[in-house]
Parts: sequence; C-alpha cells; structure tokens
Amino acid sequence: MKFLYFHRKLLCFVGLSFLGILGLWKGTIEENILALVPQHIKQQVMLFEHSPLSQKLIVITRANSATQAQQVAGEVRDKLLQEGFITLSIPLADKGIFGLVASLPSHFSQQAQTETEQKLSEEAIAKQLDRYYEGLFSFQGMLVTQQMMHDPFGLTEILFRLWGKLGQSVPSLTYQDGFLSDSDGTQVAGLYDTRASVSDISAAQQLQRFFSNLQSALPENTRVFFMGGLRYTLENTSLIKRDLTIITLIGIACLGIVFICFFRSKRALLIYMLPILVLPPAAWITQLVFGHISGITLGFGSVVVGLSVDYAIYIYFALQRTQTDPQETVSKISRHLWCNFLTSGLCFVSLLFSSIEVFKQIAVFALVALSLAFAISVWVFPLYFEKSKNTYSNEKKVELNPLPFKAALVGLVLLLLFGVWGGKNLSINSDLASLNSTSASFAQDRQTAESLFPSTQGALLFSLGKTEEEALQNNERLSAQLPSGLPVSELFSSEFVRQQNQKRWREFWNEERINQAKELLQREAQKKGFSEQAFDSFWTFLQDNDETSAFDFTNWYNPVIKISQGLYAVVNIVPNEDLYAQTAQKAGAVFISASMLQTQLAQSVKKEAIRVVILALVLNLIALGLLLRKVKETVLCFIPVLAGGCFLLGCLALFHISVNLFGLIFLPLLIGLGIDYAIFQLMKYQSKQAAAQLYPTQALIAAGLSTLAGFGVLIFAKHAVLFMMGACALIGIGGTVGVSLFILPAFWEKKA
Amino acid sequence: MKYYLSLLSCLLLTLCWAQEEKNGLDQYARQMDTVQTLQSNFVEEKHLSLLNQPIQSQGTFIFDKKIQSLRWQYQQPFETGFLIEKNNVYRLQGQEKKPVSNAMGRMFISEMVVWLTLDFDKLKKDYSITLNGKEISFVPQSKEHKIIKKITIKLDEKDDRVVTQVKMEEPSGDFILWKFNHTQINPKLPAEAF
Repeated sequence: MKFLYFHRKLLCFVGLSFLGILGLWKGTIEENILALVPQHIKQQVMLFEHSPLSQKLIVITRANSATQAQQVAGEVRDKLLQEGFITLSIPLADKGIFGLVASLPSHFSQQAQTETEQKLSEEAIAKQLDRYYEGLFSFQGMLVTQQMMHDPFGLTEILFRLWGKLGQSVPSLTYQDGFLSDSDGTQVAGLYDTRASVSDISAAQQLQRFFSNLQSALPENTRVFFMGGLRYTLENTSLIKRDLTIITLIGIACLGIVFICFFRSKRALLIYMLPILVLPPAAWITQLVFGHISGITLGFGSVVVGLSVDYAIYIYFALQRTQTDPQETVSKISRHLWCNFLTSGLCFVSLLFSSIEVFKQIAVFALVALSLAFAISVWVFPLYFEKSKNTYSNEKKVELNPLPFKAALVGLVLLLLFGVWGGKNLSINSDLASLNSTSASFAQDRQTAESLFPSTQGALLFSLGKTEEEALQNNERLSAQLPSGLPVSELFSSEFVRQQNQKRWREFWNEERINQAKELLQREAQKKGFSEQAFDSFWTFLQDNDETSAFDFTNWYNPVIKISQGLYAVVNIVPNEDLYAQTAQKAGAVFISASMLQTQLAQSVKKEAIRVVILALVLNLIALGLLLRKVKETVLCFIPVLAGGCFLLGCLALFHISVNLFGLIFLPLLIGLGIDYAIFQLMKYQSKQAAAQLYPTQALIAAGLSTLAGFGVLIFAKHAVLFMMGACALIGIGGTVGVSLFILPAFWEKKA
Repeated sequence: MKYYLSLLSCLLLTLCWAQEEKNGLDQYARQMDTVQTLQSNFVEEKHLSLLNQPIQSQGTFIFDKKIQSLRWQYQQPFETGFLIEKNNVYRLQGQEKKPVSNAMGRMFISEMVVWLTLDFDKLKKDYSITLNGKEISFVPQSKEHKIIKKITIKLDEKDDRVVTQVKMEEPSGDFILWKFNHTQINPKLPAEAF
C-alpha cells in the first residue's frame, strides 16, 4: 500500500501508457501517400493513384538488339504465366473470332459505318480474299480459316484499329506483338494483370525471387525487371524493415554511449523510459482525433523521443548540482522549463495551420507527447532523481570555453554567408516517388522505366461521373469537343451510345445490302475457289444479331475506375498539350500530367514551408518577447536558430542533398530546438554564480546528444523520408548545439 | 467362377497387348533418338470445307536436334515459313525474318517441335497413342479439343525413322495432309542452312 502511495503519480502515467497501447491495438495505421500532399492537389494525386496503369505489373526488358528484347520479353511472359504470377487477359481464342464479330454492332459508330462501306466495295472484297487465301498457305492457316468463315469482309479490323489507337498518345512508343517498345526496340515493356493485390508483400517477395533467378539465366547485357505497385510495396516494406532494425540498434548504442558518458546511474535510466510513457497515449489521442494515424506520424516518434527527454535531463542535472529540496530546485528552473515547453510547443502549433494532413497529425502527436513529458519530468521524476545524488555530483564539471566575441562574430557572419549560398543552390525534390524509396537498384530501374515512358510526353485525363454510365457519357461529350477525339470513348462506349450503334448496325444491314454484299462476295470467292457455304456463319449472325457471345474489351483493359462511393472516372491517356488541359477544364474533367503535378507539388510545398516557418518564428517571437520582456535577449535567442538553419542549408547544398517534402517538417522543429538551447544559455548567464550550477554545460550537451541519438540516427535509413529527417537533424541540431555552446555565449558576455 | 476366369484371361491379354505396344513405342522412340539431323521435301494438302478443291503447297524442311534448329520453308505458291533457333522463333516472309513473340504463335511452334522430334513423353500427356504396324495414331485425350480430332503418322516400310505422311483431321471434317519425300536421315547440315 505504501509502495502504491509512493509511486502513485508514476503509476498513473504507466496506466495511461497501457491505455494508449490498448487504444492503438484496435486502430488502423495508414501508409497512404495522400496524407503527405497538400489539400488542394489531393484529388489529382488520388486520381493518379487510381489510374488503371498503377495497378498493373510492368515488366521491362533491355537487350542489345530489338529482336533479342522481344524474344526475352516473350519468354518472360510465358514463364510468368506458367508460374501463375500473371493472368493474361482473356485471349480472343477463347471465344474465337466469333466473339469479336459479335461485338461489332455495339461499336458501329458513324465512322465505323463509313469504314464498313469501304470494305464492301468490289475491290476491297477482292483484296481481302487475296489476303485470306495467301494466309491459308502459312503455318497459321488454321486460324485464318476460322477468321475467314466468320469475318469474310475483315470488319473486325475496325475494332483492332480502335484498340491500336489507345496507345498512340505517346508518340515514341510502338506496340508490337503485345509489347510496348521504344524507338530502337531495345527496351520493351509488357503490362500484365497480377493475381495478387498491389499491397501483397508475400506476392511481391515471390516475384522478386522469380526475377532474381531469371536474371542469372539471361544472356549477357540483357536485363529484366518489374515495376508497378508490387515493386513499390516490396521496396517500402523491405526498406522500412531494414531501416527499423539498423536505426534501433544504432540508436540504442548511441543512447548507451550518452548514458555512460553523462549519467551512469540506475535512476537516470528513467529519463530514457520517458518515451515509453508518453508515446503510446500521444499516438492514441492522435488516432482518436483523426480517425486513423499515419505510419509517418508514428515514425516521428523518434523525434519526440529526443525532445521529450530534454526536460528530464535538465531537471536531472540541476538536482545533481544542488543540495536543496527537489521541488525547490525544480521551481528554480521552472521558468526555463516553461519557456522550453512553450517554444517547442508553438513550433508544432504552426504545423496545425498546414494543409498537409500528416503535418497536422504530427502536430497533435508531438503536442500531446511534449505535454505529458513535461508533466512527468516536473511532477514525477524529481522524487526519483533526488536519491541518486552523490554518485555524480562530486565529479569534475565539464565546462567548454566559448569563442571570444570577435571570433564568434566572424563565425556567425561566415555561417550566415554559408546559409545564403546554400539557399541559392539548394534543390527541392518534389517527385512523389521520392517519398517512397531511394534504394540504388530501384532508383536505377525507375530511371529506365522513365526513359521508356517519359512522363513529359503523356498525360491523364479523367472524365468524372456519379455512375459508370455518367462518366462514360461525359467522356463521350469531352471526346466530341476535341479535334482528334478520345480513343477510349470509341472502344468503351456508354450504354446509350451502344444502343445507338446497334440500331445503326441493324439499319445498315438491311435485306438489300445483305443480298448485294452476298452477291459481290460470292463472285470474288468463286474466282479463288471458295465454296458457296464458306461464309454461312457470317450471314447467320447478321440475321440473328446475337450479341450474347460478344467479346468484352474490358477483359483486356478497363478504363473505368471507381474512386469512391458515387464517384467514377474514365481514364484517357492523352498528349501532354494545353488543348487537352483547357478543354478538360471547361468540361469539368481533370487533366493531370506528371510534370504538371510535380510543378504544383513543388509550389505548394514551398508555400507550405514558408507559411509554417514564418508562423513558427512569429509565434516564438511573441512568446519570448512576453516572457523575457527584453528586445535584445529575445533577438539573441534566435541566433542558434538562424545560424543553425544557415549551417543546415549550406551543408545540404554542399553535399548535394536534395530536400524532399519531409525535410520541411524539420524547419519549425529546428526553430524550437535552437530557441530551447538559447534559453538554456540565457538562463545560465542570467543566473550568476550560485544558481548557474543549475545549468551545467553537460546538461545541454547531453540533451543535444540524446536528441541526435534518437533522431540523427535516421541518417542511416535508406528510406527517403527517414533519411531526410535524419540528415536535417544531424546537421541542423549539430549546428544549433555548436552555435549555442561556442558562439552565443560571446554575445551574452558582451551584453553583460 | 468361369466368369471370373474369362475376365482374368481378358485382362491378362489386354495387359500383354498394352505391354507389347508400349515396347513398340519405346523401341521406336529409341530409334528416333539416333536421328540428329533431318532434311526433307514436303507437299502440304489442305482439304477445307470452305474450298471447292484442296489447295497444295510445297517446300522443304531441315532440322538439327543438337543446335535445336528447324527451318520450315514453303516455296510454292508463296514463300513463307518459320524458323526455330533454340528458344527463338521467327516468321519467314520472302527474304524477311521477323521474330514471333505472341503467345499463340510460340505455342503453335513449340508444339511443332514436339511433333517433329516425336517426343512421346510429352505427347502421351495430351494424346492417346496407338501403334498399328507402320502407322501411329494420336487422338486428343480431351474430347473438346477445338483444333485437332486425330493425327495419323505413316512410317517408311524400310526405315521406321522416316515419316512418309502426316494427316491431321479437324473436328469440322477438314484435314491437312503432309507428304514427305527425299528424306535424308542425319545429313550434314551447315550452320548457314538455317
């Protein structure tokens, strides 16, 4: 009972932590890229994600010659089929040529009627029969026989022409024997439907093994690899697993070193237990607020680990250096702690004003975690830290000599110049794919795929509708407004147009025309020696008009996608031209090109970054102004932020590190941390002799190194997002700590 | 009892016959193993219901088991054909040689190789095979086979390794007849012949 009473406060927070774990257990973790993009381009990214091509398995073959590329691609396709990885779209052979003929009436547009009329001329019939006759002597003669009997006039060529038009939007690609190839034919791509869903990691791993084994058996200078959703799943999952293992191990090792160097006490272990107490409830509350939580937000836990332990570290060192009552010591440094909490918190508050959902999640997550960490550090831990006093207090104090004023000033100016140079040369990577992964082999494969399907050439045009039928009708209207039309609308018509086409077909094939065509065909057929009954099945079809066995082209490619309940879209691949963009805008359709999306994303990200950083600076300036009530001190507190930020910008440019969207999360955080360290130094220099021991330099170094151990180790990650956060942490926090220790004190002293 | 004895006798007789036939096919397969290269002229006759008269074409074929190459060349009335080089397949059109990579074309041609080498192990999976003197018949095990109803191969009276005629019957009643002449077993074939 006594035990429970003594530990009551700690037990309350332990209970809250368990509650958080339980809450998280039932919740969902989302890994959707949509949470990472600004609100106003969310719809475009969502449509892009839903495009039928994104669900396909793309197998790319590179070889020395076009012939070899086609052959290897064919062999790979056969093996993929054999192993059951892909399902080939229902081949025509399944329904025979009859299925195609039966689908003719539904596609009998005005244009198709004109083409049919041309095919019924005496000359055209003679040519067609010549082709069939010659085909009978080829090794595929058996197939020709079937085709000839069911389609004597070659009308199904109209459908193949429509099918062929689908791929004409990307001019540098050619379609041959089921593959898309580049201009010289040495790179070919096969697009397949997989049996597994794109997020099936087990299927992705099996596929990876299949391709690894296959590669070893291929001729020299030939390479085959796969792209598409499954590859992204594989890359992300493998990388995150690898990263988590490596980062955890290195992080524990680094924290161990910090512990050995600065603490060496059982009680101090509590400092590193703090994240376990605060992270689960923080994540749970974030989940309650948003209905779900992003994996990226959880990944941000390592950052909060670094921040949350700072309060406990400051209190721990303050208690080691004084002989007074713990609560009294804590109250002495409470102004500093409150300042720290307020400045860090305000930086996260600025993220709440972002339109990127994951930023908001991170803000809520960090604010809850910091609040809990502050509460535990101030009200719970002092009781435990008090008991471990004498182990460390008598050790020699570590004090670092700051730079003299002139040297500090020169250093500061150099850092500012370095920052200006960095800002000018900094590259921002707004590529959506860069948020997924950066493994070297993947990046190389992606580059190859990009060279084959240059995103600058093609664009996607989405006709929207509340139902499939409405989307198809809207697509037909849009097609009518474009000079070259939309090929998809011709092959995939709405029910309304299909019925019109069928009516047109019936009216066209009236008795008079049938007799006329029969007479012409028989006359030409006799010359070649064909029997009178040779084409009976075609005439029977014309009489019965039985479309039940019609071939459905959606078995090969379905351009209609369901985006959400009550929202459908027809996807068209179109040239990346203004005409399409403008027409789409007028018709209420959505035109998206990868290049346009990249530009929009880059612009939005820059805007978001500027807004969040300015807001964080303004909020902190107001808060510090109110707390310190002295302009000079307030301004000086921003020196580590400014100099640390410049150091970061310069280093990023110097090492050619391209900043992705997630590098920007770090900017407000850097502001918060920089101000925290500045406040620490301010308090130290304001406190004079006796109270100065409450702010030992070890505390600042230990806090900085703990943050780096928890956060900076992310630099060892392969995942682009985690790497970026780690790189910024290591350079930015490192720079900020350095400025706080060596440059800032010179200004305090000068001021004093 | 008599009934069971006669049933047993019938069963034994059937087993003996089946064993004899199996031995015959095995023996024939062993003989075919000695064939490394082949060269022959052929006449192809197509008896199709859509034609009043059968059509005829002529050509040559050469085959080399070691390098897994086959050239099937029509010479009359049109210069067409196909060429197999290991796993690569080409369509021949006049002097042109185009790769075939569509699944159906590849399947058709790999089937041709099975037939030309008379790979019984593979053929037994899909066909019931009957050996009758100098004639071997193949009937698809699947009754719903859309293209082939029956294939009959006639062997040379003097040399079993020489196929003189192949008849392929379709379910529709149409059939194709290949007649082979001037067949040479294991001739020297220069690489450029393919």
